Amino acid sequence: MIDRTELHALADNELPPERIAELKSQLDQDPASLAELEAIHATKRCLRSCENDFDASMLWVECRERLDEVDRTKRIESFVGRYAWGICGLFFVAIALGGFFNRSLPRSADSNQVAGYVANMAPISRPAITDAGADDRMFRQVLGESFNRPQQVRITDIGVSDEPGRRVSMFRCDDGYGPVVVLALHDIQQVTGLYEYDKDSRYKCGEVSGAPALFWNRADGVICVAFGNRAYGEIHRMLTLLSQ
Amino acid sequence: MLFGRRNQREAFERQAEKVFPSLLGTALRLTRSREEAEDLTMEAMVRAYEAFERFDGSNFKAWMLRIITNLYINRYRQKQRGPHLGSLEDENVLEPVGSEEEIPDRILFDNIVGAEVERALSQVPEDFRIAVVLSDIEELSYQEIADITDVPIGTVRSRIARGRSILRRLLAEYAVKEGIIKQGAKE
Repeated sequence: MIDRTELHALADNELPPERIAELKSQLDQDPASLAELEAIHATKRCLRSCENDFDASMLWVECRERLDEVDRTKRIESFVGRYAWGICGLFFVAIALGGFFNRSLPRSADSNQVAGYVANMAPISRPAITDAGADDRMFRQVLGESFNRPQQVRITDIGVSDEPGRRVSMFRCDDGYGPVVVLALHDIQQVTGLYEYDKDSRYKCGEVSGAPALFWNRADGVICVAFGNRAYGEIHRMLTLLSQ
Repeated sequence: MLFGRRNQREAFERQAEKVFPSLLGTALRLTRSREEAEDLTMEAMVRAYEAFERFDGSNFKAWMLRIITNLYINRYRQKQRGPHLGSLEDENVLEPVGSEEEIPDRILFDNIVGAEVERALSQVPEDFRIAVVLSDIEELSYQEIADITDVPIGTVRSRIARGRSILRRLLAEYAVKEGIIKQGAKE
C-alpha cells in the first residue's frame, strides 16, 4: 500500500513528475491504493460541490462604505500631517487674540466681583493734585457734570487703575457718618445679579463685599457704583446730595 | 496624490469584488457563524486595503486568504479558546474509523452534496479544516497554504490527508444514518 499522504499529494498534483511516474506504475499493481486514490478524488469532487454562492451583496456595500471611511480618515490624517505647523500656529494666534480681547474688551460681571476689581487695582495710583479744586474737577469728570460735592461731604481718597480690561476710578467720600466708596467701572458692560431700587428707578441694588451698593449708568453708559456700611436709603441720600 | 489614492482604491475594489464571495465563504467555514464571518471579512478587507501598497501583485486571492486566515487564527481562536476545537495532538481525530475500503465512495458522494458536506466540514477540527478548505474549495497550492498558515509544507500535506479522511468518515456516518447506504455495504 502506497503511503496515504503521498496518495493525497498525487491527487492534488503536488508531486514532482518523476515521483508521479513511479507511483503510477506502482498503482497498476496495487488495487487497494488505486481504490484509495479514487476515494480521495471522490472526496475532492464532493468538496467542490460546496460553492461560494452566498449572498454577499449587502456585505460588499457595507465594505465599500467602510473603505470610504478609511479614505476619509486617511485624507484628514494626511491634511493634519502636512499642515500641522500651520494648524498649531493658528491655534496659538487664536489663543493669543482671545487672551488679548478678554483683557481689553468690556464685559459683564457679577456684583460680587466688583470688590475684586478694587482689590486688584494694584498698583493703584493717586493722580497728582495741583490745586484745591482738582479733586472736585476730577470727581465731576469721572461721575458726570451733574455731580457736585457739597461742603458736608469730603473726598478722603482718590484711586485710578489703568490696567487693561480692569480700568477703575475710585473716590472715597465721607459725610461724617462713615465712608462711602464711589467707583466708575470703565471696562464693564453689564453687572448681573442686581434688582431695581424701588424708590428711584435710576438705581439698582446689589452688594459689594457684603455691603449694600447702588449701581447706576453714567450718561455715556459707564457703570458707576456707590457702596458703604449703611442702608440703601442712606447711600441714596448721599448720592442725591452729590448730584444736586 | 489624490488621484493616486483614487486609482489605488479602484484597483483594489476591482480585484476584491472578484474574490469577495470566496472570502466570505472561507470566513463562514472558519468561524461557522454568519455574524462573525461578516466581521472577519470586513476587517480583512480594511486591513488588505490599508496594506494594498505592499501587495506584490502576484496572487490577490491567496494574499486576501492569507490575511483572513491570519486574522481568524490570531483573533477568533483566542476568543474561542474555551471550547476545545481539536488540534494535531488530538489522537482521536487523526484517522478515520473503520476500513475505508468498505465505504462505497461513488454511491456515497453521488448522493451527498452541498449542505451535508458543509455540515460535515464544520465538524472537522480546525487545523485540518483550514487546510482542506484552502486546498479543495479555494484550490490553492500546498505552498500557498503553507505560506498562509505559516507551517511547513509537510504539515500542510499531512493536514490535508487527515482532514479529508475525517470528512469521509463523517460523510459515511451521515450516509448510513440517512439510509443512503447500508453499513458494511460493498460497491
